[in-house]
Amino acid sequence: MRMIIYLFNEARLGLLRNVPAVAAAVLIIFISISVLGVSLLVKNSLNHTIDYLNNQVKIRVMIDPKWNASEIALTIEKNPLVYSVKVESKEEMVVSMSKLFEDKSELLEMFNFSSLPDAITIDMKDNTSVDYMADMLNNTEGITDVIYPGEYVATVIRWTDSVERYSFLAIITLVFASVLTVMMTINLTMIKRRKEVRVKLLLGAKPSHVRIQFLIEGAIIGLMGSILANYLVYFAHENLIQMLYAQLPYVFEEQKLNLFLVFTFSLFGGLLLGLTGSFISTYRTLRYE
Amino acid sequence: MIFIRNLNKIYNNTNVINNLDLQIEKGDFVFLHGKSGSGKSTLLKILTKEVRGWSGKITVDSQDLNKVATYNIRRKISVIYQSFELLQEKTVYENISLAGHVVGKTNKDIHNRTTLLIEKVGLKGKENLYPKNISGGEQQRVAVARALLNKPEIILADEPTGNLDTENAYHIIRLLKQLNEEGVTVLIVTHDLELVKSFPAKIIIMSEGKVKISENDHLLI
Repeated sequence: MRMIIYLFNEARLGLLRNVPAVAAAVLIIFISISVLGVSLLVKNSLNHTIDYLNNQVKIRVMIDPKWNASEIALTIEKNPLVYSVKVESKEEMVVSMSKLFEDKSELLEMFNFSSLPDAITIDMKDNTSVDYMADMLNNTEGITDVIYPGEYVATVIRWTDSVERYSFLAIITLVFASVLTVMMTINLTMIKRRKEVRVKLLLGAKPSHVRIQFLIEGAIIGLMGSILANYLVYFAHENLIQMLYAQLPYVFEEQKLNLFLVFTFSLFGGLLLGLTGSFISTYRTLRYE
Repeated sequence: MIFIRNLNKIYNNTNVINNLDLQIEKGDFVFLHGKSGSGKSTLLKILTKEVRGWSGKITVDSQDLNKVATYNIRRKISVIYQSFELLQEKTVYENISLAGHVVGKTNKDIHNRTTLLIEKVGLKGKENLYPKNISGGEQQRVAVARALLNKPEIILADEPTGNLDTENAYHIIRLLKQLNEEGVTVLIVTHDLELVKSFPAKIIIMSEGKVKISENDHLLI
């Protein structure tokens, strides 16, 4: 315990002696965790929209009541472009419409349910073949209507996929940059304090104790960066996302932010970044001790 | 206490230490004299495990140097340097007490021992000054006090008077001699022959990585 208190005190003094480098490392961790947090927040809110758009890429066909929907579904399923098919009977359609109009029963009553056809929802393997498949289905006997999204929705989905992929790459890059910055900060600290490290070791300090002091410094840097990032994520949630909920309620789905989960995740992330950076740095410096 | 047999150390194809045999007994006060490049400082660094990659056999207190943890050997052997190696951002008191903190002594023990040593090396009243505010002789006394804090069995001093005037140099050697009389084994590396002649001690003269002359036969094997 005595040693731990001493090491924490030394770590505090070490950080205070190297304020500019510490500030740079805190800043980069703050940026990384903020980008990660805000991305997760936006992605979480957009899930509803992405699901909606994904559903739009599916083709829905209405079946002539004289035909058997299950038989047509079996034929369609054999097409190599088709991933899966789902038959929706008129009873199932009534249930889903009842959910859709649960607050507006007067609109629901206007429907003549007996005239509803069976439907088949077709999930394509590749979104680019939707037009071709729709044309083919239009010429299929027993199908009265083909409902499918236009080019616009497919483009939006492609962009959403790209954004998701690139934001993942951006986060990976930022995480890498954070680890490097912490590593450089601790390296710089160790170079500035090379004499102190050497004297401590010559006086009989265990290398593990010297390492722990620098790991504590890395952890503090990581925690400071992630605490600041928490404030930004919270601010983004309370202002930006709430504003989007209010203005685009059909695009953004309002969700209760699990603050405990977000803060824990973010603090853990910051801690991990700080510890990783300082571990690599101290490992390189103290490996021969 | 320290037993060295067939010690060799090669730096850049040069045999800095060449088949060195040496024995130092408990309670010895030894001057290790030699010109620059004779291998004196390298020998000290090998003993404190600052330099590795040597061949031969070294035992300290009958323990194989290769098998003792570095921090353990450094708690047994304290080193004093020509450049003092004090931390400039720490006060005299903090520099001395640092030795206790790094080995996990209690604050009370550290305080008692630091206060005692400050008095012993004649620095009372200067505890709160920083190294830059005291003389070279006083800085070396701080280094001596720091080396003594953990009650080492052996003190190795690498040119401890190299940066001091004659008066301070003699003062430091007198201080080390006093510690030796209290039971600490002291090995002083120096190239100052006048200093060597001024104190009763065992003298080892090194040249080209070998012991050439020893005042006492029992130092040579």
